[in-house]
Amino acid sequence: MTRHSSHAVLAVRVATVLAIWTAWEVVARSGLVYEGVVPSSFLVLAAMARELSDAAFYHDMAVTAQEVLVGFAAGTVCGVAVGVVLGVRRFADEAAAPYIQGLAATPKIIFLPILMLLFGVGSGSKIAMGGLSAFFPVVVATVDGMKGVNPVLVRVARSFNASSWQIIRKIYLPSLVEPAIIGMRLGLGVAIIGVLLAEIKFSRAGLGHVAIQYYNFFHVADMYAVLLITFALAVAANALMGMAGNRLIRRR
Amino acid sequence: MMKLLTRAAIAAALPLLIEAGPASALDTLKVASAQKGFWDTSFVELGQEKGFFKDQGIQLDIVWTDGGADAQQALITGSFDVSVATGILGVISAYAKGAPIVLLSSEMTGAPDLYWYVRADSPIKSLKDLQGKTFGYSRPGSSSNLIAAALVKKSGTDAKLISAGGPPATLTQVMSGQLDVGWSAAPVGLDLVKEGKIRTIATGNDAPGAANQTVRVNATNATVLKDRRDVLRRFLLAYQKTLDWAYSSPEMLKAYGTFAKVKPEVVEETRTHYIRKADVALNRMEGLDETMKEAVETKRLQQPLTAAQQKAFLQPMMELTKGLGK
Amino acid sequence: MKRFAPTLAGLAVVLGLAALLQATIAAGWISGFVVSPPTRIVAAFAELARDDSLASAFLRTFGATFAAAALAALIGIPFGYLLYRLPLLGRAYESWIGALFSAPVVLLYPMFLVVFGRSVLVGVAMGFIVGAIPIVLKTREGFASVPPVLVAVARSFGASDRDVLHKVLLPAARPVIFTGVRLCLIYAMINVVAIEFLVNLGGLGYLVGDMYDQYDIPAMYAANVCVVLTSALFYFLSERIERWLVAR
Repeated sequence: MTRHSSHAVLAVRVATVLAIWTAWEVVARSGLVYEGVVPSSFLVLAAMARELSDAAFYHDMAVTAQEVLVGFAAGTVCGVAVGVVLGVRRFADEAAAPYIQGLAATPKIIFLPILMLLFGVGSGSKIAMGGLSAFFPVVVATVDGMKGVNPVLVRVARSFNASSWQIIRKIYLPSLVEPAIIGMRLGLGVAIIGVLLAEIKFSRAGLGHVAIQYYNFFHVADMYAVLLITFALAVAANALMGMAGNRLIRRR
Repeated sequence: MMKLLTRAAIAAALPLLIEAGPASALDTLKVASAQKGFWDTSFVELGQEKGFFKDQGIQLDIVWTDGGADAQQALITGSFDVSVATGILGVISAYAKGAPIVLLSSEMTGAPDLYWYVRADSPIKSLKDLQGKTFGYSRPGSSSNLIAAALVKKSGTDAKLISAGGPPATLTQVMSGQLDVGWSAAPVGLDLVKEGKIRTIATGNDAPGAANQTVRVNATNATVLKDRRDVLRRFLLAYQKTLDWAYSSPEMLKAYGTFAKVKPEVVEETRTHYIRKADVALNRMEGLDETMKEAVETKRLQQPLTAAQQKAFLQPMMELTKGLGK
Repeated sequence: MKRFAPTLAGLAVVLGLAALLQATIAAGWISGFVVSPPTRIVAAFAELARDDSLASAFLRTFGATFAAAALAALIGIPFGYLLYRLPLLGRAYESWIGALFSAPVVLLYPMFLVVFGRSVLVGVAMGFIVGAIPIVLKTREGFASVPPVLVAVARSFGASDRDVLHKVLLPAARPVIFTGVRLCLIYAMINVVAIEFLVNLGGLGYLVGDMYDQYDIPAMYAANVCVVLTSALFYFLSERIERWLVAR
């Protein structure tokens, strides 16, 4: 039964990919859309090959990756720290909840000008954008995780005269691993998007910048090539994060 | 997990922190310029290539933007030291609002190079046909913004001003139907006009008063003025040397042609017909009243600068450009 | 009174921070150009409201987000149902759709610009695509989590597919589907505002960018506050609607 299903699933996926690809090629050659907006997939593939063999592309990729990683790390550390504080003090959590939830749902891109005023128009504002984006999913997940800790454990620890720091380290933190990782998965995703958007708005390096430059000069196939590679990298990063997270959860 | 992350974060951040290049005896100026490929914005690039700035002990680190607010933001946030070819509209309104921006010199008086065009098959024949259409310029506060606003006002129509970005992006938008009227500056795009793919409907000096208005300036920020004033003076000296060379040597024509990918004959035409040396003088500040009037009309200024404010605004430029171009 | 203590404490902290900010800017420790004094932000807010630009920007953003979300629900919920009814399709597509969730779809906006022109439709189209994803995923998840025994019992009473859908599946899956709708609203608005900001299309995103470009920094902060309030409004509205649906 399982073998049959997995073959069937594969068949559906392959059929879907073929159908989409065919539809794309048809539209590309039909002249329906303004010339060049839907280039033939072969042109895009050729452009991808060109990009991947160009050293400059890897430089831009490195810039974006750096901005994402540093921003994500900063946002995660702050998110966990604030989440722990809010989790320990229920009153603070209830007071802060509406503001955190409100800001979490807000499009972070609007804070970009403020970040540019504070951190300049270079990598600083992109990193800050990544950090700001990643902060919210992480803090929300951490607070959720803190709430899930069994209060009995805490009372028992206190009855053994454990210090607050020890309680945090030995009781709260271990049970935070799973929720924090869930938050971090989402955080990485939004950090990537945040950094790319910031690069589109104002930058002189990075994948977002490269894509927009191609669009400005209407090199559409090249733009699609860069976008596809960026998509693939983002999906791979999220998948990696997921795998690493699952390993960590299982290891405990 | 946290340790791993922390280590990874530090490892990733290190290259960013240790950005210092090899130590050099030259003073570095970070320059944000607008519209790579234009005649007047290429002076910094070609002057650097020729070594004029090095003679003054300066190394330029040039970055190209779409103009106007983009270059200014780079300047005001302290990310860059000098912005070249920035619209006076933006500079004066930012200054009036308390931004730490300082006028360094003029860059372009009159708008002889700017032109507005439509697709060859467009029904628009002149400014009168602009009712309900979209009219492009680069970025808010730029000289193309200033002139575009004046042209729309002259047309008496309700045409909508759209910030379209640099000439390549603008061309894309016009050809794909997103924008009715695009902008550019000679010689960029003139080959398309000659080929009949696009049609000019207005030029910069068609705007009333524009011919005698200083529309673009070079600017710096308050910190640089305070700490590195002599570097700025040397920058302007080297810039003037570049101007002298640009308007007297055939070598410049070739250099610019290669840089902007333009044929030498077109470049010669640009130098003699479109943008003359007097237009790019560093110490001309004309039509300030007109500029302020337009700024108030487009709601960038609450009211024109007072005489005292004007004097304070112009003072750094007066001092730093003393004796240039004589 | 004790119930309101956290809310009051929160408000007190916010007001206290604002007062602190005002004082440090007045003392010159922080540049008033980079961080506007709160009093000037309030004044800028009032002025934006007065000259109508705030109202029209808000309506544009709100309208585009609502349209995108409505489209996403209209198409996403049936599609999620399809994935549930045809488990083969569901298994085939679920991980793809999940991967799309974290993909930077917003980067495709230049192409939408060419297809739709410089109009509000670009934001609606992109908001729809991004918003449909959580709705599809959550709808399928919601239906899949309904205990099969309920469905079996209904069928044993001769219930048709439609009856099963309306009387068993939808009511049971409603909370999860609504989570999807709420996520949809959030992501749709994020995309709509991002496009407005990047392309100067009008709406609140455009307002923030425009005020920054014009160096009217207090007005920029005021526009920012407005965006935050709008997203809070959507949150509030979706809570209300859910409560109303449950009560029926």
